[in-house]
Amino acid sequence: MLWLVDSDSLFKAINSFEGDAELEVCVEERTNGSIIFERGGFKYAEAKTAQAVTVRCLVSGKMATVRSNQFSENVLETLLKRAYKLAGGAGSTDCQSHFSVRSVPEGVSPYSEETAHADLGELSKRVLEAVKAVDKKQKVYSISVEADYGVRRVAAANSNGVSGEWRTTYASVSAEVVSRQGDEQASGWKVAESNNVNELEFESVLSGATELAVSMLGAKSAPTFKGQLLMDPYASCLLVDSLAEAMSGEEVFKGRSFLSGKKGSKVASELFVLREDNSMPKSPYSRGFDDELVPTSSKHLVQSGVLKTYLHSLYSAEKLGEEPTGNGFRDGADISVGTTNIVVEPGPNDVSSLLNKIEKGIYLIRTGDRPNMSTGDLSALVSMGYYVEKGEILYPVRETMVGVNVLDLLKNVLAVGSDISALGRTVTPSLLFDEVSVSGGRA
Amino acid sequence: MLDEELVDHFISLVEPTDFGDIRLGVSEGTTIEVNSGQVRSVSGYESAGFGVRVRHKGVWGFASSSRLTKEAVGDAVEKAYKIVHSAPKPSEDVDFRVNPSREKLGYPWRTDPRGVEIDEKLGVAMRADRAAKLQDVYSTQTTYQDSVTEWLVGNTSGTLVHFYASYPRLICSAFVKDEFATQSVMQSLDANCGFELFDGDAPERVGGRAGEKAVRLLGARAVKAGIYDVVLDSAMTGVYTHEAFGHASEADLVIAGTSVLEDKLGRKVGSEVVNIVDDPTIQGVRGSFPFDQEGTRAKKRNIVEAGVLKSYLHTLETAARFRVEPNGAARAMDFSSKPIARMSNTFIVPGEHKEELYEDIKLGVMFSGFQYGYVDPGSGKFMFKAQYGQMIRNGELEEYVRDAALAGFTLDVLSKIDAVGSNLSFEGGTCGKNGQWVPCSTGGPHVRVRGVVVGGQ
Repeated sequence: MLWLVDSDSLFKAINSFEGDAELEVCVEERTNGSIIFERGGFKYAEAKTAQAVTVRCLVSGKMATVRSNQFSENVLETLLKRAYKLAGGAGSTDCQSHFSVRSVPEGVSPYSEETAHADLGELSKRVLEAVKAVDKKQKVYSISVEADYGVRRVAAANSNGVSGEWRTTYASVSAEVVSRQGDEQASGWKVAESNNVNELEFESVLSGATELAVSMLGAKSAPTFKGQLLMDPYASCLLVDSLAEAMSGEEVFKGRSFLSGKKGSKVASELFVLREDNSMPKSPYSRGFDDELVPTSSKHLVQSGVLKTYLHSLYSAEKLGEEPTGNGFRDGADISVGTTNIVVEPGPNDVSSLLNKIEKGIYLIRTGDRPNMSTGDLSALVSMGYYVEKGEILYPVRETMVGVNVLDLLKNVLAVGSDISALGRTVTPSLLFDEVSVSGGRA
Repeated sequence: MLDEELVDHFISLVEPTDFGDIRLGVSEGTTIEVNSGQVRSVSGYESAGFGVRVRHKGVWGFASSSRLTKEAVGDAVEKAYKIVHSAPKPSEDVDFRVNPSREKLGYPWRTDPRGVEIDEKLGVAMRADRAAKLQDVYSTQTTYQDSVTEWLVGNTSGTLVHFYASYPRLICSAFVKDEFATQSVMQSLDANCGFELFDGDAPERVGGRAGEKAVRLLGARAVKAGIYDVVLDSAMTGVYTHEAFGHASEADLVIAGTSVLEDKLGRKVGSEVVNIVDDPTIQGVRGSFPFDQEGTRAKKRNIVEAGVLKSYLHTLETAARFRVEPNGAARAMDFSSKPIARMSNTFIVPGEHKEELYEDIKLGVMFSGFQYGYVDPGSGKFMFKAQYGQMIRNGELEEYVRDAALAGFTLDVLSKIDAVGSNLSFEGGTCGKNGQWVPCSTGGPHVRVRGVVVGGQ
């Protein structure tokens, strides 16, 4: 693959710019292939290439950003001039003082030649075989599968002499299965990601989604009670993502996080250990430096129940008077606080032993809810889940909500599972909690 | 100006027995964020490129490029054909016909945001932000956005349409803080038009409304979860109609077997007071457009009439599969995305109830504003959280409550609507599906729903 530009060339362009300003340039290139199967048959495939150049400019304490999907030396020169003019005019005043000054490491992001040279036709055949292997004898109504893979490469440099490059490969497969029984319809989905397309387990994703969809038929409303809540890894991801969001230095600075003022305090049971891992071998989210050219790091976020750190971009670190943590990531043109891989340490309990610890509770498989970020209050619809009594799953539930404050939830961890699943950049086991309110329509 | 010769060149490369189409787009935009009177960020973007599709024996191939050259078009067509020839055979093939459109529309609005100075745009954001900062407001956050795209869509059946989309937007959030929580209310102003959207005191009205509503929430407690009769305001009615029902009416989901509306054409899906429309032809509303991204002229779609499902939202292919006329619902996020069935401006048609809908509710919740939500179109399960609620007791609106969520099943709730108000208003949004985000509007009248699950504490 031929790359448009390296970081040395960006460095030269920045140094030849005439103007009293700090500059930062990031060039991102992507190639991507994807396929869609619906109702068990092939539907669509596509191949894309894309690029984006982002220039940030600091002039006299004011900052501006310009972004384009075109790239050439002339385009870069024009973008530098536009950013300079924009920053000097109506640029933002509520910004950081400087761009990064620390050198960055290389070679952290995993790269797979198999993924870089994958073939859409071959991938289609593998998906089709997996779809054919699904047991459709009963209740399975439709199967939809999406798979994609690609290469992402970034070269970046700033006028403080910091530059770096990284490239990574990614691949994912997701399946949605709809089950039917009479007039009732239920669904189940599952996803898997890796940096190596050949390591995706298509059959496991499809069978998992199928099993879930069929098991959700016959749902009833649960009773209203206070009891235990077992979150499967996908549901736990929701909780952990919200925690990472609440650790954002920018949200803390604005007073909009339920973790404001809690750094160094006990916020969770000692059973709950959370860390950021910037170098997981198979993860497409492993990175040596963030989108502001600040080195990333592996670190404990919650250890011995204590909140160890907030997560910072250059801006939020400056606002809170703390050190940058390498957590400035780009969403479009702007930088906000994000993470590499977020991991909850697994425990010793398999799922059946976790279920056995439940006297009366809900086994939450999927929900789309998130807590109120300022209070930590969580009111979550059980979009997929089961009612459990005395360790036994009794039935799938519908029209049932669980309500709890996240900080109370974290202090009431009863046990941590040994099963681990990844959803995006979040890697968690199942988690069992006590003292959770459940609202259903049954007495 | 986009080059029609690239369309001609593309058509010359498609095999005569195949169908092909090309979308070319050039976009430019600005985003400004102001936090409590401080300019947090200022950014500008530009993009250009094209996407091509070829369809051979029922198999689609898609490729895109950011280079607007004949060479790049040739490369993309080659890639698309490579995909087509290496793909498995489709489970079903259909013939489809296109009624070609040929039209060239200029920029139809008064003030093109691309010609407005950045200082003037910043002034709009600052004015709204200042207006939101009422005495008890703890902090504010205001975002100004504009985006203009010039589109050129052509296909091998003779379509060649040239049009513009322009989406100015102002979003203002006001935050209040009390002993229980920090809460926020968001107010927005948006349209499919030019910079004239911000004429007069429009920015101050947006900011002022956000501030006034937020202050009402001081001291509000979380609603107690349970089963209630509820009234949904226009924003919540719109979001329910769009998310829970509208997506299920998109024909590609119906074909995929992941919609609760499959096999329900001509059948009762809601109460008789419910009529649902998706209409991209309403002048100036954010979800409007003259042509969809397959070049089909936009038209109003009556999805539900008196509780009976009448139609789905179609692309060229889904219309062919259902043996109906395409209805102009194929939308793509940008030139590098494929068109899929999408909504535009989706709403429940206003009814005849002039009086307040809460007057005969003994114990209920009035839902106002939309915070976030999600839906599973396959099962019809949904949850939507309001920005705030207000308890209803014996026909009177009483204290404000926070964290109020509406949960249920799409068709179950649609059948429980027993009164539809006579008011109608729209709110702009950005709808996500298959990783593509497109401008849309939701709205409608106030509606009353009996006996639904309300989530809270």
